[in-house]
Amino acid sequence: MSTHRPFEDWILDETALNPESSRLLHQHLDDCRDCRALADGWERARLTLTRSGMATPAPGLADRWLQRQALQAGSRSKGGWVVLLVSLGAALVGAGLTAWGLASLLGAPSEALQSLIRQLVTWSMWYRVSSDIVGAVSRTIPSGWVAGLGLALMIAWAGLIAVWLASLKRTAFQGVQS
Amino acid sequence: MSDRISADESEWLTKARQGDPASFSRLVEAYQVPVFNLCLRMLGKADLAEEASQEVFLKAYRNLAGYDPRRPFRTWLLSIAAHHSIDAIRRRRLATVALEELPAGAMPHDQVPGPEAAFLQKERADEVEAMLQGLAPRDRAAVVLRYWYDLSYEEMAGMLQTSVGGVKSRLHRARRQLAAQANQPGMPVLAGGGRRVDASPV
Repeated sequence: MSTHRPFEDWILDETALNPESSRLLHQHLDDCRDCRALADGWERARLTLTRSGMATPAPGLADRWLQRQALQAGSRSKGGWVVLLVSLGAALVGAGLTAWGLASLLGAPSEALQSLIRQLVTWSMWYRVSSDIVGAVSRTIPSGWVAGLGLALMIAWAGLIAVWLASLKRTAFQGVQS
Repeated sequence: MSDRISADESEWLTKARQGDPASFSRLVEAYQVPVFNLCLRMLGKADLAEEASQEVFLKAYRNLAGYDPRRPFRTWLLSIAAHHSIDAIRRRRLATVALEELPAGAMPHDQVPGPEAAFLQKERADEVEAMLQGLAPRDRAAVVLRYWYDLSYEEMAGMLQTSVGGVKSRLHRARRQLAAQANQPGMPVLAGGGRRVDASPV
């Protein structure tokens, strides 16, 4: 434990000392060069800080803010319109495809059903082929590696979720809390 | 500036919350000095401070719904400014950037300096920046809030999202670092700001 400990705290603390502590500090400062240097250094730093006034921005900051706000509001508004139009377009395409599917079903129900079944069979075949490939690959590597790979993937997922939550907290909440 | 919000400001705030940017610009006018000063002390350059101040006010305007009117508006704004500046330092790695110069218009409050006064102001600003630049962003924020805004430990803790003990610890560490810097040979000495003989704490 350093013998400077209480004195360093007293030097750097801003609360007033009682007379006895003050006497002890002065006594210590007469004998200790390190604490004397700390006290002198802090006093100089403190004076520099307390003598520096508030800095003002260049005139017209409020006007510049208003212009910037209008500019951003305009681009936000444009962005909103773009999102709305894209959404509407996507909805129209979706509705068109649905209508086309319904029309086929109603016009020729058996052909539409056959097409649907063929599609399902194709998907199931792709699934089985993919499963066989993954199974064959996994049999060629040691079982420990598979477990390790699974664990690494889980950790990676957990990390990504943690990063996502942290960034959400920072961007959505920090700095605007009252 | 008092923490109490004036009747005018209250009215501007109400209108701004209803989506009137012109009313909020009156609040920008009223609070531009504390916000700009905080950003300047944190970021070290007037152009970056101007940019940051604009962003802080935009952020505040967009998040007015989250402001609790029972709390001081100034403290809320300064909290946004402090966090924004800390993030800006981290993003742009500005911790080692020094204040090269204070451009016209970005100078200490309430003075119209002559050449000699301007030189002294510049020298003083350089000294302050040279001291602050060595501190970690959150420690720097604690020092700025303490010595320019005279906030209580509780207010600072709320703004920096830490405990009162955490604030004291940051200030203690920062003071130690500032004292060490002030003792370095290259550190200029303030005119009239020599070493105090009776180094009792204040």
